[in-house]
This record gives sequence, structure tokens and C-alpha cells, in this order.
Amino acid sequence: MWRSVTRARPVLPLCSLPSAPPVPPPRPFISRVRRFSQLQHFQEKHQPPSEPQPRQTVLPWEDEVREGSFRWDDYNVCIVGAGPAGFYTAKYLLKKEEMMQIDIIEKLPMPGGLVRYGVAPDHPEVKNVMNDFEEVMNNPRVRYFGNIELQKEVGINQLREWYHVVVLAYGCQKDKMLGLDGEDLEGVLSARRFVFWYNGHPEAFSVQPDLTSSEEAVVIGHGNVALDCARVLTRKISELEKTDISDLAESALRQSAIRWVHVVGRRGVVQAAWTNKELRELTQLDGVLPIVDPAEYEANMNDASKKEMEGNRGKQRMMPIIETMMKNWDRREITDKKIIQLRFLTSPVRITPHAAEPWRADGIELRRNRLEGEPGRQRAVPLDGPDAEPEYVQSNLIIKSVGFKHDAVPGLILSEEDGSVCHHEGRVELAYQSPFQIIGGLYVAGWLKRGPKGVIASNIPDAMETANTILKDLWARERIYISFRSKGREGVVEKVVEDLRIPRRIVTDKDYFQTKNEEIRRGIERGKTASKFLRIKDMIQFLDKSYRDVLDKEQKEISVRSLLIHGTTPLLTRNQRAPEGALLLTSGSELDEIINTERPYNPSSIDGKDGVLLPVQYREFAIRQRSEYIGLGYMLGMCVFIYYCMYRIHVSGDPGRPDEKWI
Amino acid sequence: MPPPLPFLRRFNTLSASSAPKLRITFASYDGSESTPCPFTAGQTMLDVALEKDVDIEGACGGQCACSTCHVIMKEEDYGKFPEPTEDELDMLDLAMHRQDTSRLGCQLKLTEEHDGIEVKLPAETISQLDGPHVPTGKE
Repeated sequence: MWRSVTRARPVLPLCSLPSAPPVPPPRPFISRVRRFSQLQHFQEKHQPPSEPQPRQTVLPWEDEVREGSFRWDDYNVCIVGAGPAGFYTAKYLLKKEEMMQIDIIEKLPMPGGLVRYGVAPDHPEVKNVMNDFEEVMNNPRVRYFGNIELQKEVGINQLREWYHVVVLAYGCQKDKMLGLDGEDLEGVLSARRFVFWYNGHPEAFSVQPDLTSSEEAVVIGHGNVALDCARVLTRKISELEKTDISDLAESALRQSAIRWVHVVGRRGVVQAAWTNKELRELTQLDGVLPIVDPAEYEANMNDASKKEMEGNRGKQRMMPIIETMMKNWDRREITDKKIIQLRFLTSPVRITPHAAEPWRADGIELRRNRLEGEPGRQRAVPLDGPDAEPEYVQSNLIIKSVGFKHDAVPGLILSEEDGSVCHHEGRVELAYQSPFQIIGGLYVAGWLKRGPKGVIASNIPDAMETANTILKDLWARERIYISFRSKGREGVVEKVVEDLRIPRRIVTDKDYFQTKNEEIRRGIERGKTASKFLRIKDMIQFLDKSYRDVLDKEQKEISVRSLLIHGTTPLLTRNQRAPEGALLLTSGSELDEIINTERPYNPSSIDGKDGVLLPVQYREFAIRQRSEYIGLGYMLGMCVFIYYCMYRIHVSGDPGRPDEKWI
Repeated sequence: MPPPLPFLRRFNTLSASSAPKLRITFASYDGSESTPCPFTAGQTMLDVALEKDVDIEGACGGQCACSTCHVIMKEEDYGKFPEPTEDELDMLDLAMHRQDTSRLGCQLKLTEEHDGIEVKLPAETISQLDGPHVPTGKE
């Protein structure tokens, strides 16, 4: 039995034996990052290469420029992220180099980043920076593409193939965690989500903070964002409803029951990160009483803190503001105003779930601290002894405002300390390598570069530095990665759309201005400065609709034009109103009159006549057509003249000189 | 009255053009570059600088909400302007390279009295921002 089976196998003749596959040379040692990057590059192509590729000699991080393989007519720069960092970088690049061509891509449809979705709605003067950014977008050398997400719609290596320079300026997309029990309960929000919620960020559409169940709210953190949250929670709705606050947030805050907001920080006054302007604003609010417990203040003003304060003008000027708040302390029981309590030397211990509904937060346990250490590096240490009794605050809304974190781009190693990308003067480099290796053509700006801190103005020196570095490299033709596949910026959008698996509407700068105007229009209807679109879906729907309207209008005009050319069918009958933007003709002589005199045509004058409806553009069309007739006539005349000359030659055999023989 | 024709303007001795021109100078921090800018009374220092394309940002549009129009005055000129408000001082605290005679350009209204003064723009903030590059990772 066994034998018969073996005999049944076909025997291959020797000549047709497939030759052994070539043994690949031993693979050189490649670091994990490189291998990952290669793998990613491979995946981007969707399918394995059918024929052997030429060996790649230009590694993405090699400092090599191939002259001749690329035309240096202009510098193509792509900026990922349309926030302050990206726009300031673009601004300085445009200012210093005329050949600069910049594309800005953005995950959300609308540009502006934290200027649009981070700055509190009651600070409209801060949002004036947007005018600067709109100027950048209006520059003919800049194109804006919204609704494209890095690593989803387009890969970082793809961008590097298309552009000379890619600038990463997408900031921080994640929140720092506190590491507490119950941090993931319902009702515990990160400040990022809360801020996005009241600013109408599309990602925060589903956020529904519970403002009605309890009278107290807790904000953890001592920064400007924490003060923003506390202020929005307590400010009078009559003031907020006039701003561009999200419509959902407005209606939720209208029913808010919160009247006491605790702003909790583990260290003291001197160590707080807020700025005086925001703190002073609290004392000037109508209907809000900011308070500070004098006992807490005394506890944190130890010798080291006083020493820290000595050299710092801003901190010294903060003290009178805090003192005003301490004077308010006694009025806390009798006032009918909403209260913001700034609490120092207090740390959250755990967030407790609700007894009946264990999925949502019901309160937070706080613990007292004391400061320990040298001036400038004091730490909060939990108290022990009788003071260590934890305090319980019943609250259904707990906002963590303890900072942001970076979202890693695969293939880039982030430094460990603050999470920012490892860079040198803005050039991205691979960390943990010796010597440091620069990734050619890749740069960073903004929070990704210097960590999640600072105000909008902090972006200015930072963007200047990155722009200077980029220009230095471009002018010297150094450290710019140029692939053999470099195509420049032409066809980027088409490329992206082609590669998409899920179709996405790409939003351009024109769309942005259209959407913005629509938002302002909707806002005027509701008595606000603007009423933002809360979902990407709505925004795209609006854009598509207005786009379709424009198409329809064009279509109508074309049909009118064809009617006029091909026949004399009157479009309007007696006493019918002409639509706006249309010319109305009753006779050919009137058309001539309109074309020649360029007088504005008054459609109301057609009463009692039949007429032909014309789009306004017809005037240019008719003028052009007339000039074509003139040209044709001229050519005809020339032909007749030439024919006449030929005839003369034929008759006399010599054209002769016209002045002798023609007369 | 219709405006005088351009070629007649130079003969018109009565119009405002014959008034002495007011001038303010913006100098870079080290004094290597200076831009004289004409101004009319009532303009703010930021407006004057933006007209002449001086390297000054003015991101918030003159609302005292950022510190990007920071200028440094001479000590003798500092007293010629009214005292800064608390809001301005708050913003100045955030300005880089702040000095005792620092002010925000958007808050300084210029009058005839300020003709001929010179202000300095703060130092280039680029090199001092991050300090020398320090490798942070494992070697």
C-alpha cells in the first residue's frame, strides 16, 4: 500500500527542476525603529512588491541630498496641525523665503486648534490671533486641507516623500492621569474634554457633564485651564450666552445647580501655575465670590516659599489678589453668589463611586499636605497625626486639569522626561542613539517640541527657531531627505483621496471661510457671536449643500445661455419677476445697448414685455463673441488681399511696387 | 473743501503737511538696527510699528491680552507715559526679558510730547529659550 502511493508521485525531469532560491545575504543589524519604519512603509503600499525593488540606498535619516533628482524651483513644506504653532511657523517661513510653498493639514475640518477649541469663550480678545492666522491662509502660497488625519488618511513617510520638509505641530492629544482609584468613573472628566465640551469640539459632542445632581464641583489642578473651567461653571449664563460657547453647553449650564467649585492643588500659592490675569478676573466677576481659607494660606507660606517669592515680581503681585480672596472667606456662608474656593496643600486620594449606581462618581476624598524641601523644589508630603483626617467632598462632577500628554507617532521615539519629541533646534532626531541621528526633513514645533505649557505667545520664539532651522537646512541643501519618488506638492490632495478607504470630504480654506460666516450668521440669529457646528457631520453637510447650490446655479446659467444661443425662446412671460443677478433682454438692440453702455440693467423695467433671461456673465460672453467676429472679419479681409496680390502676380507676372502700378 | 491736487500739495502751506513731523524710533535690542517711524498724535505705539513693518507681533490686536508687543523704554522716557494698569502689568509678567522700563506697545498712546523718543525691542528670544542641547536618553 505504502509503495503504491510513492510510485504514484510524478517524477520531475532533472532539467526542469526549479533552481534553488538565492540565499539572501545575512541581514545587517537593524534597530527596532528602523525595522518598524520599514514595515510601516511596506504596509502603506498595501501589497508586496511584484518584482524585486532596487536596494534602497537613501535611508530616511541619512543626511544626503541628491541634486538633479529634484527641481529646486520652490520649497515644499507640509505642516501637520493647524494650531498656533503651525500657523506661526508658516508665517515666519513665508516672511523669510519667497519660494516657500506651504500646505497645512489638520485632523479637524476647522483650523485654529486650541485658539478655536481651547481658549475660553469669555476671552474673545485672545481669539483675535485668528485674524493673523487667516492672513496666513489667505496667502496664495499656502493651502489648507482640513479633515485629514496623520497616520490614518496619510502616513508620515508618504508626506516625507511628497515634501521637502514636514513640520509636526499637532501638539498633545492625551491627558495625564492621576493614578487614583475611581478615576475612570462616569462624572470624572479631564479638563481637555470639559474645555472641548463648552467650546464645541467635535470629539466632545457626546460629553454630558452632570451639572444638576450636586451643588459642588471639584477641579483638580492649579493652572489657567483649571481657572477657566471654574469660571465657566460659575459665571452668569447671561454673560456666557452672548459668546461663541457651544449651544449644548449653554443649555446645560442654564440648568446648572452648581454653586460651589473647589479648585484643588497639592502645593501652595507660590507654586501655582496660573497667571495673575486669570486670577484677577475671578475677583472681578459679577455674581461670583472667590474665597481662600486663611488657615490654608498660612500653612503654605513657609520660609522656603517666601524665598521663592522674593525674586519673582509676578508672584509678589499675586499676593494682594489672594488677600482679597481671604477677606471674602467670612462671607462664604451668608452670600448668595456662586463660590470658587481655591484650596492649597490638598491632594485627591480616591474618587468614590455612588452607592446605588456604582458606575458614576459621587464624591472625592481629599488629604492635607505640607511642603518640604529647598526653595524652588518643594514637594507636597502628606500630613500625619490628627490633621491627617481625610476630607470628603460630595460631588458628581470632578474635572482633572493636571496637564496634557503627547500622542506618539509610530517610529518616533519620544524622550522620557516630559514626553516631548527628541529634537535639536527643531530637527527631529532619534533618541537613545549615539551619536544622535537626525531624521532628515522632519521638524517639530509647538507643544510637541517644548512640552504642554505656555501661552499662545510662547509659540512665537519657538516657531521662529524652527523656521530658522528649516531655512538654514533648505538654503544649505543639507539634512533634507529627498526620495526618488519626490513629486513635490502637486497632486497631494488627489493622492490622499485616492488612497482613502473611507471617503472623506477634504476641507479647504475657502470652505473654512464659508463655514465661519455661516457660524456667525447662525450666531446672530441666536444673539451670540457665533454658533459653532458641533459635529463634523453637520459641517460637511452644510458645505456639501452650499456646494450643490452653487452647482445648481451654474447649471441654470448654462441652460439659459444655450437657449439664447440656439433660439429665441422667451424664458419670462409677461409681468413675471426676474430673479436676482439676471439680465433681462427684450430685443437684440437692447443687448447691444447693455454691452456698449455697461449700464446696470433694471429687471423691473420689463413689466408688460416678453423677455429673455440672461445671466450676468452673458455680458462678458457677448463682448468676447463680438471681438471674435471682429477677428474673423480681419482675417477674411487679409485673405481677400492676399488673393488679390496673387491674382496680380498671375496677371502681370510681377507684383511690382504698388505705388507705381496700382494707380 | 475738496482735497488739494497732489502736485499742488507742496505749495499748500496751510495744510497739516507743514506741521512738524512726529517721529519715534524702534531699535533692536543690541542697537544694530533702528527704524524711525512717523506718527500722528493719538496712535498707539503698536499701530505705528505695524505700519512700518517693524518686527513686533501684536497677536491679540492691541487688546492687552498677550505680551507680544513688549517694548523697553529708556529710563528718561518711562515717565512720559501714564502708569501701567494692573492688566498691563499682569501681561508684562509673562513677557520674556522683562525689564524695569518695559511696557506694552498697545497701551501707549503717543502725543506730541513723545516726539523723538527711542524704544528697544526685547532680545531675540531664540537662543536663550531652551539652552544648549542636552541629551536626555540612554546612550
